[in-house]
Amino acid sequence: MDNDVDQALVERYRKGDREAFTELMVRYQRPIYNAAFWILHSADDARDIAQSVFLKVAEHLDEFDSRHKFFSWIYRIAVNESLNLLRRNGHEEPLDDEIELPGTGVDPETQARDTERSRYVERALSTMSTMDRTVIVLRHFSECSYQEIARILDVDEKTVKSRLFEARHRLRDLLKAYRPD
Amino acid sequence: MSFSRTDELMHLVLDGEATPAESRELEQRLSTDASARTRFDELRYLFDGLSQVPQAFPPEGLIASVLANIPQNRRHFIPGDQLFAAPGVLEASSRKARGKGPGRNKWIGQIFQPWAFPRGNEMNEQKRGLANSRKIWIGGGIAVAAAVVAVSTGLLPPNAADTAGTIVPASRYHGPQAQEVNLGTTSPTATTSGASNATISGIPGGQANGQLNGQLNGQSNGQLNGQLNGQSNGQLNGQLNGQSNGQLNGQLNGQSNGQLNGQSNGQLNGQLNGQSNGQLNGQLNGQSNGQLNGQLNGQSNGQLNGQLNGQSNGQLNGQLNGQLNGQLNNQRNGQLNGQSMQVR
Repeated sequence: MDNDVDQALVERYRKGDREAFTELMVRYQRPIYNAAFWILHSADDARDIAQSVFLKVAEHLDEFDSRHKFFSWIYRIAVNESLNLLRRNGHEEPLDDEIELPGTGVDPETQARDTERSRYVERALSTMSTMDRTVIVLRHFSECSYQEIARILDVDEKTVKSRLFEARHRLRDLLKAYRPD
Repeated sequence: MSFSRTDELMHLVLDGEATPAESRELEQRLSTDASARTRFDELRYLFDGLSQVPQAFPPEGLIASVLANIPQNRRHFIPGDQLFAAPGVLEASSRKARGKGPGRNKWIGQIFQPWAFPRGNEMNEQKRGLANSRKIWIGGGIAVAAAVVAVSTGLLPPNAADTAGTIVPASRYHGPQAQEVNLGTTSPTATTSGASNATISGIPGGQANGQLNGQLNGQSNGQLNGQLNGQSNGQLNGQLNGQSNGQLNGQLNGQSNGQLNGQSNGQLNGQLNGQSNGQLNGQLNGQSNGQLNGQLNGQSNGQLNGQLNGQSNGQLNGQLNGQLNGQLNNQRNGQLNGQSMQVR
């Protein structure tokens, strides 16, 4: 995401331009929803979280420090909201491995088109802990750098690397278990 | 869990965050370590698998539902829970609305407007174009209706009468001409001036004076009438022409400006509003400017035309009146002189 564009939109909204906020939502609705979906493994929860995130952004945009990236700020809200929801619902630990992925369908033809590897990864991912899944999602699905993940999770880069590498090792082990060979 | 230097380098390289030196170091290590190569291949398999996981697309109406819950004046946004604190009313209510645990239950949309999700959970983001095309149809309908009204009311294009001043050369004003000349003896002007002139100057002098006076009076009156008539007509024509031109120019300018402004806002509504406002403003400005210009031009033209017409009419009227008065005076003077001679 282009931070200059984000900052310009933020400034416009601060001056009362509602269209600017709509543009911000257009830019971020997909990545925020996608991240929430893979952290929560639920389309309904992801939608609720996305709505909640945008409402919070609209409410607190005056508090946003423009020296930081808007990208990191909104992701931080999304991750916190998602983790809070899981915590509140007692779903901190592995979810069901049957994932309802919107848009991929469950019919045999669609399933056949999906790569075998992708399905193994999805299944393995759903059995991981929340924190493992979160760092994996932020790095691989949201394409955040180590530094951005550190800002979003409010930890240092070294901790990010450690968590991410460990999560991958666990995922790799899970994948071995799922692979037919 | 502790990582060997080789494993750490694997992650850095595959994440694209390794320096060139770190990449070379990994190559060296892999070339001498078969188990490291196996781990690296497994890790790469994992990366490839993660890259193939499909993206989840947000449901249609997500933005609309959020906008519907943001107050128009965001300064009066009712403060909710703290930014990173545990979610409060919104999510709690959402859970209640859903009834059961997260994940599998149908969301019944009681927190946000029900119309925001008319298609439920379907990932039909591409169908958003339908809403846009509907806007385009509505906007097009409004534009066509406006054009029909403009044509039917004669605003666009202006009728021939309104454009006469700009297209057809202005015709010279011809004031009402005397159809008959009253040659009766009761004419006070002719009798008095004629008699006095005749008494002093005799028959030829009376004719000459009559002509001169007639000329001067006629010229003066003609000039004045011509000026006034010309001014009046000029003003009227100028007003009408100015108004008509102003309307047309205003419409075109307003439409053009409105379109440009609307376009720059990037919104169809903006375009339509801009067009509409531009038309109205343009019309008003054009009308106002047209009136003023028309008045000034009309006044100026009227004065000039009036002067010329008046002069010309005055000269002609003066000549005729003078001639006639002179003749009349001469006749009467002659008669009187004749009577006097008889008496003597």
